[in-house]
Amino acid sequence: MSESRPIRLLLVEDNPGDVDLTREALEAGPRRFEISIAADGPAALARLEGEPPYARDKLPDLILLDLNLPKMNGQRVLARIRQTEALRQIPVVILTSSAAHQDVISSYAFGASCYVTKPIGLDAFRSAVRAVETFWFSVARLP
Amino acid sequence: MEEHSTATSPGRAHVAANEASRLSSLAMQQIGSPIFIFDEKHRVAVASRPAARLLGYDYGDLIGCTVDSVLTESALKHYLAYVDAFFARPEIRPVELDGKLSLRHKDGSEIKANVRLASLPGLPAAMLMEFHDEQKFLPPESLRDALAAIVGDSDDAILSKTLDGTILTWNPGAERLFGYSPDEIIGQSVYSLVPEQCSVDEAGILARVRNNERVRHFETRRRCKDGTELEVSVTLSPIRNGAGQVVAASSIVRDITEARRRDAELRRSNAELEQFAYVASHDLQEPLRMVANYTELLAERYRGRLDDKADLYIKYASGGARRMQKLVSDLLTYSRNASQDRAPDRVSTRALVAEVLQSMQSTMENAGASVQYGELPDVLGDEGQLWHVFQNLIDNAIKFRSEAAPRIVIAAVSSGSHVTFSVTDNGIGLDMKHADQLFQMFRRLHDRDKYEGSGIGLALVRRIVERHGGTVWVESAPGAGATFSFTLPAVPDGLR
Repeated sequence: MSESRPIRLLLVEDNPGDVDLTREALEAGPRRFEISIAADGPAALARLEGEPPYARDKLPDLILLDLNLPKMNGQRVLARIRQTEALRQIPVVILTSSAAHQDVISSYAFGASCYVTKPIGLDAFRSAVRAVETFWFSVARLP
Repeated sequence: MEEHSTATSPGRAHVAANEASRLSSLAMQQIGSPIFIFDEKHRVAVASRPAARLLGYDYGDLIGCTVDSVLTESALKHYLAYVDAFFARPEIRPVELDGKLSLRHKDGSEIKANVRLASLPGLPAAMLMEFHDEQKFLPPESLRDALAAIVGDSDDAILSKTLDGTILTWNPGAERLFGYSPDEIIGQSVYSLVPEQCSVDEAGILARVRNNERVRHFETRRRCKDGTELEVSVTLSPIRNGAGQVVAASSIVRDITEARRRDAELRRSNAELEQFAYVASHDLQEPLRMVANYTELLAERYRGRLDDKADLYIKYASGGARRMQKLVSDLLTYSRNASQDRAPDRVSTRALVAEVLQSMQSTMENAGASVQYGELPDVLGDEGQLWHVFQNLIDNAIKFRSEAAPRIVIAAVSSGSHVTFSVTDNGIGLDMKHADQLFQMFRRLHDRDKYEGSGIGLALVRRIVERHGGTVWVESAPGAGATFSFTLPAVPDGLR
């Protein structure tokens, strides 16, 4: 696992506890990550759209997106990503506590790459994050 | 010879008389009205069956009863006085005891009756007593009065009309409902009560009545004198003349506005409740997950680094979070199953049970449980929902186990339109006096510390079974295990 650069990952999550847990789960694995955090929808879009001070060329390899976000919900962020030529190819994994059927359906309709409900229980949560990591970085091929 | 013949002929006569007496006694029993024959000691010698029924006796018990047990005390005095007078000049004649006597029912109550007495030729000491139960045999004019009173007192509007809709009669119920007095409305057209948009309906049902048809509980609208409109249920019947021709229609109109409103309100409040349970269980997930995950993280990182009490408090918090997690997820399952209505499908319960057991493998292994089931028939239902029924009942059977390893038997009996399933265990059982609480939400019969659970499982089972048109019940005794049974619709013959 000696890649030239670490995997760039954007975590859109307003809950600092979940940010910590997710980061720890990822860092416990074999891959190197460069994780940037956005705590709400507009902050996520500002990063992705290269608004100053963010650089346009450092687009993430994968986005982990919560749905229940302040200011702008996850579905709207997702819709904007899919409407933006430069961003639409980035895989977006919805990582949310909602198990509601309508959230699942609308997320896929807006172009989510996959939908994961945050499990209750520490081990289950870690396993879910690790499963996402394994799938996207060793099973799937990224653009 | 003379002696011989005098010795034999009374004998023959005696036989004939006995036979006649037996026949008349049998015939008497079959008479349709209450009749007694009293002997010279005022005992019931013969009676008709209706006489026994009227007084509440078994037929055999009535025979031999003395007159004082079938008459009230005051009636007895009248009776004896009249009987004495009667026997002073016995002949067949009706004797009116003021027309009335009070009979005593076996239960002690009093029955007023009209009485006719007659002597019986050749049996000077016996007399026949015939009753007409006043309450049961109303004369026709009283019957008409009684019917008129019933119509008058009815809360429903009862009216009659000609076949072209001219109102003929109008009861007080109709006056209360529509606000028109009989003077105002009789002779008017029934269409003055019918809103324009319903007049086609009215013409249709009148046409059916003209064809000698009865129209029951037709739901439509009616307009009152003050212009308000009511939702009503109307029953129309043809009125026929002596020749059997339909000449008019009777109409019973019941105001169902309030019932409809309550119905709609109930449906709305049920839907809201289901929506509430659904939303609550979703919105509870997030804070719950936080509490659960971080108490767990706290335990993981800081166990042994704080004092013993801190470790204990963390344990309590984790336990609470775990129970709440189960509660919320069960509540979610409950509300989801309560609000979904799919068309029933053919379900193989044998395959379903196998699948449920597969999913419960580790629970079963931990408890050392074994489950036996043979051929289980297919049913009609929603497979996803029925999964919860079997899962909860098996889970329950394992959870409420005794010292012995759980032995669970699942069986089914088909009987025509439905199949009765049973899940029998050898667990701790329950006192049947609590059986009806068992299926209520959040009811727990057993200690929470010893038996984990949300108190939703059996409520969910009942909900699902009832949505399938079935019933669920339990048979048990403390220490003797329990059998939960439920019915589900069988696959109809045509689909088998």
